[in-house]
Amino acid sequence: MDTKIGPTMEILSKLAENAAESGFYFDANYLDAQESRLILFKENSNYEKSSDKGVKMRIWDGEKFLEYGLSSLEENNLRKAYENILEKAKKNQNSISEPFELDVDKIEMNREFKSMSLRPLNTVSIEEKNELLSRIKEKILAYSEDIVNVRVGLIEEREEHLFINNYKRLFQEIDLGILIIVAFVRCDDGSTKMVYKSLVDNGAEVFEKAHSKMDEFFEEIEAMKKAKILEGGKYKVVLAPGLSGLLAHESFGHGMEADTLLKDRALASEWMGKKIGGEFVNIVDYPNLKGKHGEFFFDFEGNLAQKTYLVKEGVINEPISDIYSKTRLKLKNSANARFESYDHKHYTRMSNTYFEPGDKEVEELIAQVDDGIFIRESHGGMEDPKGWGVQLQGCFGQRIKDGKLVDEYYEGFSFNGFLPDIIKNIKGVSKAFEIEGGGMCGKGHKEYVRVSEGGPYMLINEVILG
Amino acid sequence: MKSKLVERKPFLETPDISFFEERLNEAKKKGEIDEWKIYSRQIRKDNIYIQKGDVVESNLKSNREDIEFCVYKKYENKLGEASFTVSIGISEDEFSKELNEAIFICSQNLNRRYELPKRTDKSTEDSHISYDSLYSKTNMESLENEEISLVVAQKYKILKDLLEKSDDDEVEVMVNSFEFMTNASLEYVKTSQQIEKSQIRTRIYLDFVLTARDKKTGRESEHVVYEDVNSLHDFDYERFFGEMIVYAKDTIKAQNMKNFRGKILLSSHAAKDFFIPEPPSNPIIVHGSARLKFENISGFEIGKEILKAKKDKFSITSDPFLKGNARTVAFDEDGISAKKNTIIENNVFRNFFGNKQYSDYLGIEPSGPLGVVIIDGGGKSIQELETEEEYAEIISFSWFNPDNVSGNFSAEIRLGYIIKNGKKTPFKGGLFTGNVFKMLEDVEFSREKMNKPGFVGPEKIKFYEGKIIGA
Repeated sequence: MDTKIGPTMEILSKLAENAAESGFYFDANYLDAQESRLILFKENSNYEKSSDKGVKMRIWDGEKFLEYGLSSLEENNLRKAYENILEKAKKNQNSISEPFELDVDKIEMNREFKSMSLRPLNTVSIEEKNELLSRIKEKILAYSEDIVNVRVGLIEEREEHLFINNYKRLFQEIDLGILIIVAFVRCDDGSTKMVYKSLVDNGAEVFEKAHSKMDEFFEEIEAMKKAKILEGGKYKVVLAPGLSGLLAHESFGHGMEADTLLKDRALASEWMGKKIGGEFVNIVDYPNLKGKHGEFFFDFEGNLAQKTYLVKEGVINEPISDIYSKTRLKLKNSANARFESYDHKHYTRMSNTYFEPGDKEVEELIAQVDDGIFIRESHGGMEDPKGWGVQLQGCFGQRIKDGKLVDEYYEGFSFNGFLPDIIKNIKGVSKAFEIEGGGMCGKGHKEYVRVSEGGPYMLINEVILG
Repeated sequence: MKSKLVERKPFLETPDISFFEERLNEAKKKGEIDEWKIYSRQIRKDNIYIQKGDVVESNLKSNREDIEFCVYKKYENKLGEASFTVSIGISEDEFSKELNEAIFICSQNLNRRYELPKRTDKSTEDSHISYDSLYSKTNMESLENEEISLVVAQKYKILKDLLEKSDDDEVEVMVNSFEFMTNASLEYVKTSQQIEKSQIRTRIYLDFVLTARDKKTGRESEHVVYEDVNSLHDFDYERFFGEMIVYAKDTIKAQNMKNFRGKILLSSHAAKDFFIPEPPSNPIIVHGSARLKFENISGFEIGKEILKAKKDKFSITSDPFLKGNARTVAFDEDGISAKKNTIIENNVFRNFFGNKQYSDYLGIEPSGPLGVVIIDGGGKSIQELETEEEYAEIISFSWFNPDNVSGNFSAEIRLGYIIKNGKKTPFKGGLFTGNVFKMLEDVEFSREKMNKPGFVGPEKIKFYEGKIIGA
């Protein structure tokens, strides 16, 4: 463990002991989320580095959490914050009519975790990073005179995270590198369009991935120049990995968050244990997926990362949870309590959420489409757990005719529908499987946490595009 | 590790940055850097989270203090720059390490030279903005005295009373979650070019979900609401909650939308989101930025018409001085003072907005921060806009998220109405689809305006050739 965290850990441990002596559940998270961004543009560049460091403490008063988040790590400030919430908890204690005990995991644990890389980014000099990014930038600019600008950037994320309660003392260090490649292309009609790709890994391996993706990126530039507006309607589609990942995330992910279920805000509650799709439909949330953007070893309530099957063999299985929701709903533990930063609330949040691979070749899926769309990219999506609607926006796709991809492209359309209908209409899932995206996920319009996008290719018989 | 550098100060007081200043000035004296900037931000929060059944799940208080340091090194026709942000309480050793790294990066991260803002520049002269335009004293007092939970209880009661009154034989409406977030922030900027400014701002963010239940069938639907305001007390909660309850009730009656082509009105949150989506980035505004112009992505040119309007002409102004608006602001992160800025006037592009760097590149004065976006109203009243025999009216989207480069959008509708011969039928679903630039060429704006956080503009917007792709 980094020695600079030692004093903070000792103070927080003492506070946890004190809270236990006073008869309260207490937990604390120290989080230092560091980020550096080196972005190259056609003529300029930008370098920014930040450290978002602080502590959040919580005390359970028998009915609610009293929480305090602060940047200062000085002992007297940590104690003052602790006393503020402890005093309130004591004051509240006698006025709570129906107190309940949180379902706390009481297994004692003291462990440390660290993400692994063959070549950690902190061992690569800034000159070399600049050089690697410049090569990609120059390659894109040399590709076509129609490229009016580029953004090629490396975002290095490092998270040092300590969790403490009366039973657990856990520490994790997670390093991730996200490579962002964006081209702005001038089209024949005078408009400018954007082509975007992001790649993720634990270290400098991310640059290797970029080499293998450049041809695909140039193909997309050509395709985007030709892209038209899609006539809205019902279509048979094949989803690329990023899109199947987004579908898993927006539909089942948000719809199976225990805090949403607790508020009766998710239609999934009516479908628990019921069959919704074919046996090849398996949707999971799995934080411990090496080198993916949702990677972590334990959550902000000290639960070790584990795979949760949201849908197993086509049957709605179990939700992901946080301690408050799982206690009230009497659910099993899952490692999904997360917060945006130390001054934000814990919520049930996803990590890497995806459809597990199937047994089909991608070509087999495309061959089953007489007339449809291969959806290759999207800008993002929005959840609607109550209506179990799905909305994936800013899609970019290619026409499939007579089982083959043809030279017709469409941009800026949305994918929309009622989830049970969509899942029922999944007719095949590929063996090929890819998780690359370095996305962020909000709860509604706020509370952003890092997640990944990806999964297998997928054939769906009918969806609404427009 | 040495002791911490910044002593704790009372509620929202400018931090003592003398140590950092000394170190930066030493580096300047040694010729390691030529200029520096310190930008600090302190945010105090008090948030209450209420669950279904009127149960408080959490009360979160926090005190965040971050400081950003920028260092600059001048070369013949280049400027090296690097920035790093740290939380308060950084040790001397950690700060020295970060500064040395930033000094090195200055020699690597070289950009076209531009002039850093100075105290004597016209653009940094203090703007004529009163402090009570920026923040609410009552918010500050309530935060400082830890009275937020009492205030929230009062506001929550207003909502609960209105829900009780709205109950009828057919539909009941319940609160499913209610998040009330209050904060006050102090921003402070100081530079080696003698700029020193601070501003306090307050903000409240309301995020709640109303669930409507059909008493006969038990079927439920919900209306998701998010709104930010400046003041705890100077906001008409009763009117706002009342309006949201009506919409929640209508969601239960809403039918799935079929394909629709024709006249479409945007109102309420949909009208605001069209111009100021969440996160706030509308293609028209984004293309008005000096940065996108410099990067050759925006084709806007000063003095040129950007839209061929068939009906109402389009005008946008940025006004940072509006009293009590959550987006009112005094200066940007470089210390450039806020000013009123006409971006588009009657379809003609007038001014870019941008920071000092990109404004210098374009040879224009920096605009200061983007304030409240003002869209001019049109010539007709709401009543006149609503005279059509058949039209669709959209109240809210699940997420209006246009492509800022191309202007294309396709947004799912959470609640809307089809109006046919005076009869109003609610609908949901379907995708409102088009291109922001093209649609503004055939549009009418109501004379009546709404005043929302970050936006003052027509209450209703009427598109003549709108398209909804139905389920």
